[in-house]
Amino acid sequence: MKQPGAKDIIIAEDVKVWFDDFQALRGVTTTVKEQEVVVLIGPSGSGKSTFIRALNRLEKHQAGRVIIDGIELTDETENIEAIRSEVGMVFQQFNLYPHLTVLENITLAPIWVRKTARAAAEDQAIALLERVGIPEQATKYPLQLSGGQQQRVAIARSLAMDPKIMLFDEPTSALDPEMISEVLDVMVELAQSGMTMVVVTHEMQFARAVADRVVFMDAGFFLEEGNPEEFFRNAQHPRSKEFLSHIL
Amino acid sequence: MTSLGPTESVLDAERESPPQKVAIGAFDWMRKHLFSSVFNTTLTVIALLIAVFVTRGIAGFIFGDRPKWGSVTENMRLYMTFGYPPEQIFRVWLSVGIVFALFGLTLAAWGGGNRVSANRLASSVTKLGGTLVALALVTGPFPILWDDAPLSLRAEIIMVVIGFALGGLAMFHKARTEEQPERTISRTGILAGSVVFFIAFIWLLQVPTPMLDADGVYSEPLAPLATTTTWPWTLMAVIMMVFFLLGGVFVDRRGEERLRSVLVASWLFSYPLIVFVILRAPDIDWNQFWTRDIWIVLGFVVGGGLLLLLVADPERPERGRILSLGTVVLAIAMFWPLSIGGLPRNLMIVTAIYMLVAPSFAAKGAMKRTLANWVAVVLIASFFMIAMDTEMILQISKESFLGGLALTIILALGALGLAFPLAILVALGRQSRMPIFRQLSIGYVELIRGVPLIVWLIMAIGLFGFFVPTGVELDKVIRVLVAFTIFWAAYLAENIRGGLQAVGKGQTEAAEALGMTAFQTTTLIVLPQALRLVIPPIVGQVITSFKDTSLVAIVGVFELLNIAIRSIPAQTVPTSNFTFIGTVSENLLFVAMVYWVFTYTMSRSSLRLEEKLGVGKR
Amino acid sequence: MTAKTRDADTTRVPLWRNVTVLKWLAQIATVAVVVLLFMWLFGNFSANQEGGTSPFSFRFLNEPAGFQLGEGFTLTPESGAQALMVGIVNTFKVALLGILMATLLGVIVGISRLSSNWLVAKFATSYVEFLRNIPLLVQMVFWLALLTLLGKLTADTGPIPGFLITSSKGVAFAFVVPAEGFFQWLLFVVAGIVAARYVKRWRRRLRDETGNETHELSWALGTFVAIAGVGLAIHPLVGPLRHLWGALESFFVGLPVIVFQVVLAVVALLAAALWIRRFLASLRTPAGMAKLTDDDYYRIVFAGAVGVVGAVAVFMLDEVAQTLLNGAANVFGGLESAYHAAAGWPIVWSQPVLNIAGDQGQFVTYGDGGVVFTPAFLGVFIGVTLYTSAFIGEAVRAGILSVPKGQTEAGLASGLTRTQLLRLVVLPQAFRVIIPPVGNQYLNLAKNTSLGIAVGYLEIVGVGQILAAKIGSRASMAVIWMGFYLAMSLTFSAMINWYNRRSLIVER
Repeated sequence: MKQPGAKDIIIAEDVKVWFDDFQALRGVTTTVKEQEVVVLIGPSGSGKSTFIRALNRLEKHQAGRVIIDGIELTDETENIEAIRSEVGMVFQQFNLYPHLTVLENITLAPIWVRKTARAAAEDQAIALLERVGIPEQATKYPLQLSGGQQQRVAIARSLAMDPKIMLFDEPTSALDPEMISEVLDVMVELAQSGMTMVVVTHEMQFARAVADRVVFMDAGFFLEEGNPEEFFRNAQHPRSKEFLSHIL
Repeated sequence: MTSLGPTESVLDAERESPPQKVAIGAFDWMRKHLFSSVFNTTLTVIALLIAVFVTRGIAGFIFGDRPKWGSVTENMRLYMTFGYPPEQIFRVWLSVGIVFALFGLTLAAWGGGNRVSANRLASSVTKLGGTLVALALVTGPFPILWDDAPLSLRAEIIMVVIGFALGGLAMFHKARTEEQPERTISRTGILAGSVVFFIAFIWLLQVPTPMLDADGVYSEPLAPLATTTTWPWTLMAVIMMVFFLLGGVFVDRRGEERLRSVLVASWLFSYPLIVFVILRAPDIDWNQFWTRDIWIVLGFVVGGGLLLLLVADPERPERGRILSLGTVVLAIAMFWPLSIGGLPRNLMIVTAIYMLVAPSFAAKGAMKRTLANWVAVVLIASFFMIAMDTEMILQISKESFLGGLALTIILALGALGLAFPLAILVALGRQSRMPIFRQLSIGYVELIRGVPLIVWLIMAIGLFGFFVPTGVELDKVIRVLVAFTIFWAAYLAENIRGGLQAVGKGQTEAAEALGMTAFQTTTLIVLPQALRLVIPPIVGQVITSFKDTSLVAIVGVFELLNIAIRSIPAQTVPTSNFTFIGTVSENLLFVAMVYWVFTYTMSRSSLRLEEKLGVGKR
Repeated sequence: MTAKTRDADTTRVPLWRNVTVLKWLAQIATVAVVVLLFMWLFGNFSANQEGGTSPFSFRFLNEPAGFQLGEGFTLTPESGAQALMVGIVNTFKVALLGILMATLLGVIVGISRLSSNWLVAKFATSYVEFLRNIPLLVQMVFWLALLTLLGKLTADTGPIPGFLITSSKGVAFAFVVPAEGFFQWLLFVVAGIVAARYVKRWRRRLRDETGNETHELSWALGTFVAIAGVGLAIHPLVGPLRHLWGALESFFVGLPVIVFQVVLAVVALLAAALWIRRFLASLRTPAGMAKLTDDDYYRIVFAGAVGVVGAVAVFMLDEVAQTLLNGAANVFGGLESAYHAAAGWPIVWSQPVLNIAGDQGQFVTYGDGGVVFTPAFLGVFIGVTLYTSAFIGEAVRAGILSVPKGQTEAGLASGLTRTQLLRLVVLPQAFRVIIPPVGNQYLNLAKNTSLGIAVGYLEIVGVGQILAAKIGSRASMAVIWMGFYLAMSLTFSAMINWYNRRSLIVER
């Protein structure tokens, strides 16, 4: 099994986020190393999604610091755009562009952000579609695909930017049960290839299989973190125990 | 390896407030919503300038020297009922009374027990106060910025004081109830408050009243409304309140459902009652009624009843079908070759339609009800037929029998009501699997919708006469009513088609699987669902239709608009040099306001209805 | 198999219970009722016509008009057809200008309603609620009444004498107007547009190949400006084309009506035949001919009947055919004489001119110069523009709101800038929702210009009413109105449908 690298690629220091006057993140401090796979779990409303959305500034943090690959996220637009092109994100609802074909969905950002030639971008897109196992769907439109296929296209779309980090926001929650595994397989393969990943998910099997670290979140805090083996066998915090007893 | 985060006590502790102060002060609110950036500030300034400019312009016109508002206030009766004889005006008030009574009952039947949040009410009051203050400051004199203003200083001060008083009242309420659970006010309370407010308003209101002194000099001193206005309206408001309370009692005793079904029928029935009986005041020839008409009616009641027993016999469906077809043939034969007109022919048409429809709904157990319905249908239909077929008691020309706002409302509702059944037929035809029905419907809808309404109205006035037998004279109102009916049916049909498409195929299949006939499936399963779905678009169509009635001004029918631009600007006062000639803009502003109040109220209620039905969300 | 067939034979359904027979009986009965109704109506019509004053014919189209119009490209039409043409051009003039302005205002209002600026959003909301809840006709009459409150036209009327003049006679302002050589220059404009399209495509391909920014839009615009600009100077070069126009004119003048009618009739029959052929081909299965259902037979018969009726109608309406021929001849004749122009600017800057008459100069009218909008035109124009802009604003707002938030987030997450996001992700999706209702609003606007008769604007209905009263008949005028508006509506709906089909988001 691969080992996380030495470099801290994500640094979060006392990150706090408010929605109007509700505090969703109450001071989160953590670091993620290169090639590390971190899985966030916790009840809904605990701040998991808010945290990973703060990592590419889809949510603005009002206090604390977020540093991605040595660049701090501030109001500086150039930094934000630079970081966003380095950080891929996969959403619960896929968010594929329904007016573009699968191929166009994948090549859009490389062409317009990375200024890649179209032919090169398309070659890369085909390669990525092969990697996620659906090369034959390239010319179809997103809504013609099944949920699992759509999510795999969404992963390919993020990978097309050669990201250093991939964020997954409950990627399997909107899928029918029989489609979950096809998406998880892709994610497992990705993790084994050495991608740095932060994953919000309820799939404990996935966490057990590939996570280097499992984080339990509740009430806007990181309540407990540790390696998956220990965490699932012997959680310490009363809230994590309670949560695990519901879910396992 | 495992590291632990904060403990329970920390988790349950109060969450921090955001670093920026969010306690919404007026200043913060303005910074956030008006001046968040340079661009935003520029926008705010531009919008503010336009708003001030427009408001002052309008106020300057309204309170300026030029307009003669007397042309509006003096002609109120013309606007409302046009040439209706003043000595018969109680008929109009009776009609309004019926509508208000039904309205009161309707409020009770639909959400009489509803409660409105006191805080929401308070915030509306605050908004009202703020608007008053803003209006006063913009239109009244203001040091440095402008000295000459449309509004006098006294009026400005009064408005500002009232505005702050309202705002303060609401704030006080809010501050007092902050700690308590949300309070609500019942619909009854709000309605009673509104009624009291309305009555106080009309008794205190002062309007410009035209005066001519001995030298023929015109002036418009402010004066209270005439008692011929205030007393009837007070009565109307009280009637509505009383019927609302009565409705509440009825709901408590018998439940909402029963009141609702009675009300739907009453609303439908009220239209012909008001138009043909109360307003039109038919001079029924009782002698002819007792010697001839009564026997015709009784003949149809008995004959039709017997026929119904045969037609609706579930044991012998074939015979029923042949008999009902026979009535249709007989009804057509009345036109040609028999050429029998009047009551017998019209009742025969009613019979034919009833015989066609009845077998689908008549069951063994329901025979009594079907017969009772039949008797009621014949009696009501005969009553209105006789009432419509006689001269009026009123000594006025047909052309000016109705006009003004009354005509606008009666035209819109009447044409929509007539258009509705036609629209359902066309919509069903367009969804039909039979190609000829489909083509006829598509042709109808496309032809009618493709050509502007005004062209149809011009044709109705100019060409209609050529297409009816020589000697038949129809007055303008009937012609435009026919044109509106045909026109709106096409639009309504498209709305209804939307609803029909939304009712899933599964519904039809389920009904057919139960052995229902196509007719039963359509009328009992598909249509009720489809019509429920299309209520919001139909309300939209009602609004459009209401606005469209103004087009009849072009073809010379005197509804609101035509009165404003033709009747009043042509008025002169004999034996003086005073006229209302040239008073177009003030009349137009008034008419625009009347239309706006009606359409805006309708569109708001349709929005609320949409939320309630939850159809908009699909 | 055989047993089943025999079964079906032995229990043949009686005719009066056969679904197919009943279905067609019902339909034929309905058609019979409709036909009878129309026969009755037209029977009355012809009975009322006997000795009446307005015969149903289109002869007036080719007869001298003999009356003057208040507004249009010619004020003294030669024939009924030309008078009608004036009305049609006036309709299109106010409709196109109205569509342009209403779109502009509507987009601004729609976006403003979504503004985070409280005042701007409120302002836009009031604008919409106010304008769309008051009948258009009331608004039009009101604008006209306001315009009559403007001052009398005098020799020094402003606000900017010589550039912008407002008075109760209308508004005149300085603007670029076509001059001699305009029609020659139009050829260059068209060529410029075509060339710009090709250049844009070429730059796009280049970008796809290299990945570099190739500024396709600037290139396309540059191409257009260059060609149109050069055309300004060299437009007399295409002058010799007048021989072509002249030849076409004499062709249409010399063409006998009957030949034209035969051509049209053949086209109608051919179209029907082609449709039937394609219909049959679409039903054919790979194995051969499919079995036709009763509905299919009906459609074939119907298409054939439409073709035949169309062909017959062409021969019955020879006055209309003659008018069309005359019209074509007139257009080419006009082009022929226009192409005689000498060198000079095809478009010129023109300022309003005042004609002053009377011994004290008290009779002032607008002369030939600048652009002059009459009060009637302005009443219709302002009316339809403001009214429609409220509805367009609502459509724009709904369209923008229809793009889910996730789309924006996905775009941002992949590093697109705000502008790219709007251009590549949000607007393409919003447009699909916005275009169909806005198209309908355009159609409504065009139809609403017919209310111009209330303020005295001479569009097709206004002119038609004069025509019907002077030389035509109400019935034939009604047919022309219906034909005109139907053609317009159907063309518009076809365009909207085409867009809808083209832009449909592909789903399962």
